[in-house]
Amino acid sequence: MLKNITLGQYFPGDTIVHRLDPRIKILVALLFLVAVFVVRTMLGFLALAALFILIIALAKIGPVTILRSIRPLLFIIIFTFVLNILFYSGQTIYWQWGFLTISKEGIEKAVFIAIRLVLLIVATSLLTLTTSPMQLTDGMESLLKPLKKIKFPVHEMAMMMSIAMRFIPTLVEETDRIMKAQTARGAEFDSGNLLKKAKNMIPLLVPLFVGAFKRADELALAMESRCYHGDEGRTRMKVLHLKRADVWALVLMLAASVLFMVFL
Amino acid sequence: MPLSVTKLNYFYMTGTPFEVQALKDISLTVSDGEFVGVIGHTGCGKSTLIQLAAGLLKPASGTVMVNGEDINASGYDRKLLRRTLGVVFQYPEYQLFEETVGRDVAFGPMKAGMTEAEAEKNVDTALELVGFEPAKIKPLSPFDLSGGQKRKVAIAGVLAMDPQILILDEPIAGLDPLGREQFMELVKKLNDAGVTIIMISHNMDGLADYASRIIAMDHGEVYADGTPKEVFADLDKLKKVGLGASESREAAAMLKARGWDIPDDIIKKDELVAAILKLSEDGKC
Amino acid sequence: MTKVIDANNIKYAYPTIEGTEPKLALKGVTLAVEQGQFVAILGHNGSGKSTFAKHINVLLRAQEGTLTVVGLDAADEANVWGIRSHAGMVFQNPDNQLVSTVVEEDVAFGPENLGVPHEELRGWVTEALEAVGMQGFEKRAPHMLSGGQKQRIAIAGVLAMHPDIIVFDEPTAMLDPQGRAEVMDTIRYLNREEGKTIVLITHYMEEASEADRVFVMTDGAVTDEGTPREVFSHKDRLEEAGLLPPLATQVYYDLKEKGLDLGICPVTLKELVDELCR
Repeated sequence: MLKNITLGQYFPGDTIVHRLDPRIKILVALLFLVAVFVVRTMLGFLALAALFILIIALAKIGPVTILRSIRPLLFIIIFTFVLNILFYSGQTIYWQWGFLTISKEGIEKAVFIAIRLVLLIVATSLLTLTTSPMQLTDGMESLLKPLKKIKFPVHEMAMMMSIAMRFIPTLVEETDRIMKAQTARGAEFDSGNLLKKAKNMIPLLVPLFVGAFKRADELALAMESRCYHGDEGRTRMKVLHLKRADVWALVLMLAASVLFMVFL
Repeated sequence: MPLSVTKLNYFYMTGTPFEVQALKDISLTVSDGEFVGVIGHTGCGKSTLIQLAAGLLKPASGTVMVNGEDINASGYDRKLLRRTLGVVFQYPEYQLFEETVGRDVAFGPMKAGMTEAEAEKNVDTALELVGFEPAKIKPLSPFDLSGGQKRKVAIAGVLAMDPQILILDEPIAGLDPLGREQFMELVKKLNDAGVTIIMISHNMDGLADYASRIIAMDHGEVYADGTPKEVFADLDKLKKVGLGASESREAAAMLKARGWDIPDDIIKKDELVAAILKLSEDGKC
Repeated sequence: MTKVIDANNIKYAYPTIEGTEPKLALKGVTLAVEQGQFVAILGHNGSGKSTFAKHINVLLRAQEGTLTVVGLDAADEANVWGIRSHAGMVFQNPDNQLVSTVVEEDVAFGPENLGVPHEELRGWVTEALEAVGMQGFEKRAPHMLSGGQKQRIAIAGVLAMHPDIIVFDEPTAMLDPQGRAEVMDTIRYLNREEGKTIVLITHYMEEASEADRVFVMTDGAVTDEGTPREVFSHKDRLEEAGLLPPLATQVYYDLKEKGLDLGICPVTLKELVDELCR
């Protein structure tokens, strides 16, 4: 089950979306996030959804992959959905019990927020699924470069991010293994109340952290032995060059988003 | 406590285009006191099989019976299963988590519902079995031990549950020659004491020396099943799926290819040495 | 022949918690490796062999004694990057030495750190991937590969830095037999075809039997050295070091004990069979 998490994971490919400059993709993703918040009509959401679906199709990402990226946050979506339905007090009330009310406006609001959350996840997933973590960090680094002037450790931040990405699948696998090993010793991870549950996690968390520290240690050595010494004097195999397609993509997406935000 | 699986099927990534059938209609029985070596390539389904046998995965179809009871039936007492069947995973040292060795080894027994006195007794016995002085090692932090010691403590943690069936997944990975030898001796000792052993291993020499039965797996199916002599005898069959036999068996096969009249059931060093001596005395080489 | 690694009486103790006596992990290691040699360092777990390996790459620094790598003094801070670019290192756990989620980006990591000009980088990466037989995997994610493949990517990552020496610290310890064979094939190729000096830390006798020269380490010191045949024939010294000779050698000794002397001590099964059939 744990292996199926795709949030924040790269889905290798060689499509027009994959080939776009990561900086452009980051900017467009940010633009989408703004658009998702600004748009406030159903039609606007539909238009954004249609745009996302078009990009998903262009990137040749299977719908299952996209749906799977939503799954880890499904609980939060449902939670806020229910909360909004029950606690938003609107005009047209269908049902009421104490402070709990179900109203037309509440349902509308709940639906809107749920859609918004889903679109937010899809927009960010689109970025991470089509951009390798290395490219992503290169893009971030390049975009944030002006901050270097005020001594902000842009390169280090970017490096840390990319390593985190690299180790997600490894740690997921390890979690699975430790859980099984402890289950075989009689540990239970899903029984009891919240406090007991938290206590039950110790046999999983301690080995996981110990293991992660060991990995970090070894990785640091391996990086040093490969002459890593920060940003200074470091060259890049993949240098970011804005191509015509990148500019077009940015302009097009900017136009579409502004259009949606203003008119829908 | 026989362990038997019937028509076991298992799939990974179900419902996705990447669906893989990890096990195909596996049926087999392991009787009391057997020492079964399970061999096969990474991805042949051997790890999946032992996880199903240990009740850590649920089969897509088929049954797993331990001592005549279906372990996946509703109402089956899982605690009983944990006390009956121990599992040592690859690199077990990474499952240590308690502040002291004593408490870590006692984790399993306590979870299995033993009294503190019972657990204490089992912890001491288990630590002695793996070669420690219980009084000395118990107060130490497991994280201050060397890699080899950690692994022994982790194994003691499984042995302390006093399992009648012990499943081991490549337990000697990363050990040096002496460590490997010691470990195989330990497993042999447990087997002699009546514990059923099911051990996944790539170490054909170790299995040739100690196992009473070998199951070779390939693509989710049982490819060969028999005594080490039987399974290793058909070297061509093993090579076909990229597996090999013990070094002694390989050496005998090489000699046979050179025209020696050497039997196919030589799998241990002593047998090889004896056969070479006999043939050279008879002047047959 | 030039000595590319020259260690003299190296001593090292890991930092300990205050109050406890520091224990020497290396108690005066002296060994030399010549250009183009394939050297194996054998030893039980905790014998100090990995600690020594880390010195070659200046990941650790000798507290006593001298070490020069490709003629550079390892004690001199100014030589650190020079040595590291000439002596690459492949570690035991493939998962813990890959930095990127894309194969080609990982292989590029080393040369990028060296400041190899952008226009040349692609070529260096392609060349390295070809040398380990992993061309066609450029865009793949390392975590989807087998252990042996991951380890070959790690080797390519080191190779892409164009080192003269590659130190392998138990590179096959975590692999299955297939992965072990893949890595050993690669090591052999790098030594024979690319002329790389190889230092292989291992406790697999069969792997060491392929080396030109074998060093045995016990408790932080070199206790034996020579060709594989010489070292494996010192049965008692091997046992003292917590090691067992390979099967072929064991059989040789057993036969000798029983009155059948083969003359030459074999170190591989093939040699044993050849001797027997002579």
